[in-house]
Amino acid sequence: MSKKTLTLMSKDKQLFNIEEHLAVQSVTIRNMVKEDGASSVIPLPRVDSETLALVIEYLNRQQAPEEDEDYVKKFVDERGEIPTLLELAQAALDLDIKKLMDAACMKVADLIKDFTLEEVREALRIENDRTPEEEKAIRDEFQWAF
Amino acid sequence: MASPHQHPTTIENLPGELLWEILIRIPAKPLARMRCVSKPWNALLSKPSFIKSHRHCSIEINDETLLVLTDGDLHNPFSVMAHFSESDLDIARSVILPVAISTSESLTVKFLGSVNGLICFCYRPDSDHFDFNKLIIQIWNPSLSNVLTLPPCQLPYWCINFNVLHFRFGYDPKTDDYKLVKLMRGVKDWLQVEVYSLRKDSWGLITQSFPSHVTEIFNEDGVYVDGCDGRLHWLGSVGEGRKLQTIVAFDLGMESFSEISLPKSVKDHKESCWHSLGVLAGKLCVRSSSNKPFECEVWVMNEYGVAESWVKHIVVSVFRGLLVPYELKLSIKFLSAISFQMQRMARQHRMVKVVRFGYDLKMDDYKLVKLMRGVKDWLQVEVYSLRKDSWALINQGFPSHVTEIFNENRVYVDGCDGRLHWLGSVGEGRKLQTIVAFDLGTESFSEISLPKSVKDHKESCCWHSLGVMAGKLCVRSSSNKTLECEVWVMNEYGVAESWVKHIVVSMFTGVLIPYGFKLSIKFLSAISVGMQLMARQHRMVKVVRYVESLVWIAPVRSGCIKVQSLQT
Repeated sequence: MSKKTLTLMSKDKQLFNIEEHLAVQSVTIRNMVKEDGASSVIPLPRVDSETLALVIEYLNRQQAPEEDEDYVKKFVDERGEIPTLLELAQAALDLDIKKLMDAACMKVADLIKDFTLEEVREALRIENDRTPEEEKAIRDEFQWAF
Repeated sequence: MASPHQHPTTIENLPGELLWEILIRIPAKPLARMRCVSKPWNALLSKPSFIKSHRHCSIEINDETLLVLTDGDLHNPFSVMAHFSESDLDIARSVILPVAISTSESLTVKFLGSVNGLICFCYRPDSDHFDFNKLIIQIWNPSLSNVLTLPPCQLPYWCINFNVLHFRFGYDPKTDDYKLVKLMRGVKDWLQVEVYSLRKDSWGLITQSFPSHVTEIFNEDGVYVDGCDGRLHWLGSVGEGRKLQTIVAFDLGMESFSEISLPKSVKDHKESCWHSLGVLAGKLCVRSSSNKPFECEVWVMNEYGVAESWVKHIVVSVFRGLLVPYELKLSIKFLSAISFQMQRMARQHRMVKVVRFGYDLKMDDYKLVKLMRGVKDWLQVEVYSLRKDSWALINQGFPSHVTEIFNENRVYVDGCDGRLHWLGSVGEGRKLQTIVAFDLGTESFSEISLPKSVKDHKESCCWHSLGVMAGKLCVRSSSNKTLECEVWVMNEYGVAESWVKHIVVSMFTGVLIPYGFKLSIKFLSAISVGMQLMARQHRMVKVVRYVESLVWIAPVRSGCIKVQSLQT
């Protein structure tokens, strides 16, 4: 039995081959294959090549179903850097790979939940749009949560 | 997938969808802090749709966490405990109730209900045992450690206990409101029903009254039935004598009562049956347990409110006591009939210690074996043959070093090619156990060694019994301590080396059956034992699901104890 292979193209025009039956774990790819047979190259204009390599590594895993949960947890744990995790989570969200998206978002949530406000802002590049007075007021309101 | 932006999806422009997916996974308390991060975040985190998504996500994440609430003295450090399925029962975390304890006076606490992570409870000073006007009701969000004291409700002077006063706490998704319903039974009829709304923060009397033909409600289901689209449910009985039962539903949005018929076979309440309500896969269900036969049926209402849609979902045999028929293809009913017959027979042979009934494949004969223990030794064994229709003494005696046999398995181990089996102990003190086999064809005894780990009988915490699994002799070893039960199978009959540990099953005893939890059986059985221990101390115990709730019910007041978040 010959296995059909798909070619995915990252944002920076790099090509990745993956067997179709593994690629269709992504609901987005599955729908594209269903629609037009996807004989040629599937472009993924929002995923860079580093992230796509990670996604492909994940899709190619050879895990028994009962170990899958642990595998995906370990997989994201090994990529503990927030920027990498965000890229991975975004790609998993776009490609609709639920388990990977769940795990990556959970990992980011676990990392930032104990951050100070400043650390959260820095990690996610959020701008503080409050004046010092406004900031004091809202901090007072939620004092009990600190 | 398609995006107009060709910008990198880097953190500079964190897309809203991704941010949402991350934030719904953060526990409630740190999330409260994050409202201070920026104005858009504050707006996002207080959106009702976000709060809803966060709640659903929290139910998934905390699926293996239960809160065990114990009624009783508030100063009891175990009044609320969080149990995580991965941890042992012993290291359950005790959580402190957020009541302002101004004095050292003793307070009696009672849990009224829990929904979406909010817990409603009441307490009153012990010294004023009969003064219900000192009853204080609070709603508590343990994940945010904030608490709200409800304004007082109407309580007549004669209300001195909870037999006539029933509270139910629920959530109405249509109005996004949490409500507490107060039912009170007067001498002849129900009093006007009062409902507290968290949105209004006030009590109001409702116009419709509680169905007057329902004279009694059973409030003690350990499981709260609060799903089903903003409706609360009570199991009640119609008229006197508890003969006929019904379900009373209360729509929290409409504030109106309706009635739901129970399945026909459940409706007529038999003395030997008891029912309770539950939710299974989001659907209303009723569990009907019976003493005779030992069964427990679960009925599910597939279409809410439609009596015809009740479907018998599962029938679980309630294995109380020692009845454990592995792989018996007989119906339970038949088994108990047989067992009854045997008991009668045993009564007729008063001195007879053991009567065993078996089928001899080779001779195609049914035989009854009678064993009797004298003061010092076994008496000569008598065997009844159905073919001969007579009793006869046999030559070989029962092995004399086996001083006691355990006949309590009400299951006949009669497979294994026309051989009967007894589990017995050697010498005094029940220390060492063995299996005695009786060949019905040759009418002779032999002995079979138990698996090594089973042989040494530990007094208090283990008990064994024999069975047949897939045609092979097996022994079940149950332990009190580990809450586990091993089943060993003898693959090659008579060969002690061929014992193989087949399965390890966690035991499930007791009354706790929280339908709808996806928790592991092991965890449940551990909890269940804990519940039994607590129940033995005569305290009411309730188990609820732990959910992180973002409902900011009130700012924390001074004097409240801050509870640490339950997240590990």
